[in-house]
Amino acid sequence: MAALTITNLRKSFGIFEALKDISITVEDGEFICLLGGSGCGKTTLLRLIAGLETLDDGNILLGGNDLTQVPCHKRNIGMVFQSLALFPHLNVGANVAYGMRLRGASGEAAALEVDRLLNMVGLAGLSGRAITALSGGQRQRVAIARALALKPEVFLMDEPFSALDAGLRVQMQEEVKSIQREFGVTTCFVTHDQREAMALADRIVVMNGGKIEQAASPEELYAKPATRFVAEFIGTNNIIDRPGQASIAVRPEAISLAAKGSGKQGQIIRQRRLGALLEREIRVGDQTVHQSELAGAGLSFDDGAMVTLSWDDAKAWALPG
Amino acid sequence: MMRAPSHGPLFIGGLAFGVMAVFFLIPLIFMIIVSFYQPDSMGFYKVDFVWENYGKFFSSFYYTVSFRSLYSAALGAVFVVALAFPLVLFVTDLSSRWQLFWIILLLSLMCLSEVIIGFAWLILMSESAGIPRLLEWVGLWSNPRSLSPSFGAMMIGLVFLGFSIVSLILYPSIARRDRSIEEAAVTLGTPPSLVFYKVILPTFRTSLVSVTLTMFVYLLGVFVMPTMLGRPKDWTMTVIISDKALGDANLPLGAALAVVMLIVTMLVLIASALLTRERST
Repeated sequence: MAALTITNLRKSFGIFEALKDISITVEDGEFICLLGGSGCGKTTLLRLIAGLETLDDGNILLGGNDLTQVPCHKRNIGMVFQSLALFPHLNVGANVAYGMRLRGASGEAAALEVDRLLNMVGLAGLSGRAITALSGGQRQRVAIARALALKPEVFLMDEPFSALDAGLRVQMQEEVKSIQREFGVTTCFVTHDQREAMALADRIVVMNGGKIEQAASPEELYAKPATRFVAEFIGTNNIIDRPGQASIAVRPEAISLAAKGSGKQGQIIRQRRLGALLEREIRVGDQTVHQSELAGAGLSFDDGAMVTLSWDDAKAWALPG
Repeated sequence: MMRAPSHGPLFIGGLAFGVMAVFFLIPLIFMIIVSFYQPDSMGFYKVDFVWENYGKFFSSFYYTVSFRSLYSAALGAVFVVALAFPLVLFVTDLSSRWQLFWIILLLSLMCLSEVIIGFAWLILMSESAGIPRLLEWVGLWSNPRSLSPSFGAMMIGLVFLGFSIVSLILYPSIARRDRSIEEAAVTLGTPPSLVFYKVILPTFRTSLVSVTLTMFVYLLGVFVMPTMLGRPKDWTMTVIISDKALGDANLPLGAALAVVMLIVTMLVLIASALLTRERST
C-alpha cells in the first residue's frame, strides 16, 4: 500500500488538452472518487495512473517511487474497466488466477488464493463457471477479485457500475466500500454519478475541463463549494449574485418563505410533493430559485402566489473568487 | 395480448428452401443416381446399377488424389487464416481513413476472377519476367527458371484467392472487439509483446476455427489455380473429376468421385465441429 502523489500532470490528444496541470495527493488507504461530466479528463487521469496512456508532462509518485518511466505491466496496479474486460475464454477461477499464474504461481497456490478471493466477493464455489454463465453483478465481482488478486498498491475503477440497474448498483457500492476497507488499498474510482461519489469516497475530486475544481470530503463539498461550478454541480443550489460582493450559494432547504416582509420577492411557478419533501420553483426576477422543505413544516401557498424569500446567513456560502 | 405471428419470415424461408431444393438437392440426387450408372465410352452413360465406379476410387491413384486434395485445401486454409488474422488486427488499429483504404483494396481483390489472378501469378513466376528475373537482377539467383507450375505456386494462388474473403469475414468482429480486454491483460502484468498470444488469439479461437473450416471447404472446390499453377501431380480432386466427366466423357465415374469427396468433406467438418465443441466446455 502506498500514497499516490501526482504533480503538474498534463496530457493532450492532438489539439485537445485532456488534462491541464493536475496536482493531487492520495493518502495511503484513501478512497477518492474522480467526479465530473464526460470529457472532463477523469478517465484520462485514471489511465495515466495505470500507465495505459503516456503523460506529456508532470510526475506520478507511488510510495515515493517515480512511476513515469515504469511501463503499465510492471506497475503494481489493479484495474476494473467500464466493460469489465473479463477474459471470455477463461472461466471464473482462471480469470482471477491469470495474474498470479503469469507471475509463476503454482496451480495449487493460485487455486487457494482464488478460493479466498471469490469467498470475499461472495462468489464462493463458482470458480469453474464460464464467464458467459454469470449475471451482471457476478461479473462485477469477478472483475474486482481479479484486480485485487495481485495485492495491488493502487486500485483503479473506471465507472464499473454504469451498466447495472439502480438497486444492484447500490449493493455493489456498499460491497466495494467494505472490500476496500478490508484491503486498505489506495483507491481511485471514476464516476459521473455524484450520488455514487458521495456514497463511496473519503474525498471527492471534482473535475471540469481538464482541471481539478475542488478536492474535498463529500460533506465539505456540499457545504463549502470552492467554485461556482462545484456549487452548481453538486446537488441543487441557488447561486445569488450580489453587486459589488461575492456571489452566494444557498441550498434549497436553507430558504424559507413568508407571505410578506422585506427581502427578495418572487412568484411560485411550480410546487411538487415528493413523499416527505415539498419542492418549489420560485421566479425571482429572471432567475428560478429552488426551495424545499419538509411537507407541512412551513406555510402553504397556491401556485402563482407572491412570496418573500429569506435565509439564514450562516447557511449561505459566499463563493470564493 | 399476443401479436399474430408474421408469415413473412416463413414465406421467405420457404422460398429459399424451395430454391435450394430445386437447384441443389435435385442435381445432387441426380449425381448420386448417375454415380451407379454404367460408363459408356460412346455416350455419357448407360442406365444400370453397378458399384464399379466407387470401386475405382479405392485404386491407389484416386486415393492419393483425394488425400492430396484434403491436404492442399487444409494447408491453404491454415496459411490464409494465419496471414489474414494478423493483417486485420493491424488494419483495425489504423485510422479510419486507412482502414477504408484496406477494405476497398480487399474488396477489389475479391472482384478479380480466379482466372485473372491465376494469369497474373503465372506471369509473375515465369522465367522471362517477374520474380525469377528480379532475383537474378538482385544477384540471389544465377540461373533463374520458372517457379510455376509447382506445389508452391499453387499454394500461393490458393492463399491469394482466399485472403480477401477471410479478411473481410474476420474484419467486423475484430474491429468491434473490446480492446479493454487487452489493456486488462497488461494491467495484470502481461508484457505487451505477449498480449497477442495470451489474450487475442484465445479470444478469437472459435471464430478462427470456423473461418479455417469455411476456407478449407472453399479451397477444396477451387479448380483454376491447380490447373494453371500446379503440376499434374498437384492436381486436386476437383480437377480430376472434371477431367473424367468432361475430358473422358465418363460421367458416372466423375459423379462417384464427387459423392465420395462430399462424404469425406462432411466427415471432416463434423469431426472438427465435435472436437472444437468438446474443447470449449
